[in-house]
Amino acid sequence: MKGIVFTEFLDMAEEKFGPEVVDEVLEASDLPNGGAYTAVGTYDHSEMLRMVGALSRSTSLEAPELVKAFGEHLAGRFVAGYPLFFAGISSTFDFLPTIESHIHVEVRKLYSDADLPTFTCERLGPDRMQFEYRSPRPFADLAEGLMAGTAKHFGETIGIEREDLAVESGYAARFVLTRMS
Amino acid sequence: MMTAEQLQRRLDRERAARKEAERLLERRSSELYQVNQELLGVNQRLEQQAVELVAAHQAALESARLKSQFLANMSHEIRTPMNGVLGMLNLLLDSELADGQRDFAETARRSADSLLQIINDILDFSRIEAGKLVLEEVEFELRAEIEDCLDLLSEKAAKSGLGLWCEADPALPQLVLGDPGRLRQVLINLVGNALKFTHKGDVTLRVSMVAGENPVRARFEVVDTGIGISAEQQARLFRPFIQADGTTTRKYGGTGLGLSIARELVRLMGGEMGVMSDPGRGSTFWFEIPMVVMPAVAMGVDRALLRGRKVLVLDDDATNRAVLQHLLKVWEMAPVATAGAVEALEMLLTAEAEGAPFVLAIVDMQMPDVDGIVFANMVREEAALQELELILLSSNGPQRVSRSLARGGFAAHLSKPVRETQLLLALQRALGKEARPAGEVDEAAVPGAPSGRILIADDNRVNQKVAAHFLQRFGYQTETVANGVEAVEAARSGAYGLILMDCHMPLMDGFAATAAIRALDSELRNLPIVAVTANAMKGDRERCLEAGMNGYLSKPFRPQELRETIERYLGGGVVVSPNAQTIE
Repeated sequence: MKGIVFTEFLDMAEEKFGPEVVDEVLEASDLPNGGAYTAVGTYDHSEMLRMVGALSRSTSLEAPELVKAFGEHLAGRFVAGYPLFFAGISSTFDFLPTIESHIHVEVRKLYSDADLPTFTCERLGPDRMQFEYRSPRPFADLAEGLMAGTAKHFGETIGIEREDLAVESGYAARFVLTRMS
Repeated sequence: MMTAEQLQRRLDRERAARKEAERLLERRSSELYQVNQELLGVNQRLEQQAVELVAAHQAALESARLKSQFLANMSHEIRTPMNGVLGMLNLLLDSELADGQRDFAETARRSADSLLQIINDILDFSRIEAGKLVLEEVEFELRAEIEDCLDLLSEKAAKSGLGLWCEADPALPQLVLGDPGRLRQVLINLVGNALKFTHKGDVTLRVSMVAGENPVRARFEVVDTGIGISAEQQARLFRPFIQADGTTTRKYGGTGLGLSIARELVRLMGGEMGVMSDPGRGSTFWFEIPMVVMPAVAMGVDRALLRGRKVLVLDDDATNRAVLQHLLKVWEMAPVATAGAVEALEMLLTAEAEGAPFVLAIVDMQMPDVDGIVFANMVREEAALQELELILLSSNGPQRVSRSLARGGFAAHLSKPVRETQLLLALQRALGKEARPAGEVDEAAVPGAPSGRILIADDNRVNQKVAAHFLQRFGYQTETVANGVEAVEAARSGAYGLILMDCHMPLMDGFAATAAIRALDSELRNLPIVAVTANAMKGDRERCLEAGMNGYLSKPFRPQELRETIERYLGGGVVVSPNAQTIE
């Protein structure tokens, strides 16, 4: 998993819950590098799962809710950090297909070792889209949060229905998005 | 607030993260450096390859240029001796020969003809490949050109026992702009192929107008009843060096270039060519070309001479009878046709007795019971039919029949397939009036110059001999010089009606000699000069005409070409045999 996900997660946690909570989480997670993450590194996703678990215990918030909230936050960071990927696009339904067709292509050029999730989009109607997430890592919640954050960026209200596909929840999910306004 | 311990841990994490980031950055930089080095290498190789490609390209162009040059030289080198071979063989065949010897000589001439055809094909093909084949644009008579082609092949058709027919749309324009030589080449190729691959039945050339005011679009179809071509074979047919069936190369011979040349020629004319075929039942090769129509020159046909006149057509072949009747009706004549000689004679006598006689009978030479000559004798024995004019029709070349012509008292002899213009000329001749295209004027020879004497300027002794023999046979006197200086000197004497000028001669070449003659300050400067050259490459003709020569003959030439060219400048020429009114 790319380092930027870790550093952004810690930034968000610090912003929302304070540096003491972050310190506690890092200490409790027993991480190989002691929590010294850099955005340009690559780390095992199990470390992220451990940190999410620790944060959930520290804050008494459900892990899926935390990850979704993180997804929304991350979407905003992507918009700020990579404006080129959003240039000339004015809606969520126009943006989502470009993740697979454009953004992931560019990511692979930069990091040939990147093991990316796959997203499949299918337009069901003028205001409906189906979006399938499949990943070697159980982060369907993160994907859901990212979609919510994206809708927020485009100023749209979008309802998200989720159906988990894999036996073990989180590795694959089908989302049906409905645009309300 | 964070405790000191927490702050210390945070500081340690931040420092560790920075060091990790620096390490990663360093690694990335070194990777980038490596990749950059590799790219420089790749770039260098690409630049090197680009240089090599430019060199290879230039070498290829140079090689193509040399090839082209080589072909031009070859053309010259091969045509010069071929001229000698063909010329001598023609002379040999005109001399007294024992049967066996004649057979040998004829075989040798056929072989030489084939060889020349192969050389011409290869040269044409190379020129087309090099994009160097340029079409002529001259006015020509479309119908006459088509008929000439069929004429050339009629003997071959007759020998193979095949019918050769022409169905030309009466609406075809008379005069068009184009390259008659190349059109003829395409037609001869297609019709020749059809004859070659047909063992029984007929070959028909159909010419029609498909569209357009001007330029019009003419469609030519060569329909045969031959072996046909399968769909797969059709796909490969027009590719160079390939014949429909690999084995046909042996069975039927040929270079396999003819069709691809024909198609390229049609393309150069702005048209297209194709084939439809039913294996076992026959093929139709077709092409369509645009043609610019020129204002027609009215044939000096006196319709009144033909209108309503009764003509008897005697031919055992129903198709031929139908074709003739159709033509005669178009000219408002009153034709009656029959297949039997006895019946024909009766009809002639009856009409005479009734006071509505036939003025003319068109008689086929080859008929099962009574042939054309015998029939003519039967007619001549009838006192009542002395006024009747006869026209003989045959599949043989004109020469062979000419002796029987005088005996049978025929007014004219036509070879099959019957050509409209020739039939018209023959009718006019038979019915008492010469037809000639209105407005046609003989090019005047130099006033006072003896038109019967021709100067041959050529340094090659074989060529001198060939030309001299031919010209003497046509009834001209000849004298020979071997270089340009002597040619100019001879021209100044005023003793010649025309010069046959080789272009490449020692001391002074044909071009310079022509220029010197054209600069004379007497009437002699207008002396007709016909260039003879072995260079059949594009541009030679232009060069000769630019130099002031009147005409151009490319070696090896056929006797007939030589004669036609000479007569064009000497105004009609010399009558060889007053008895034979053979129309060739």
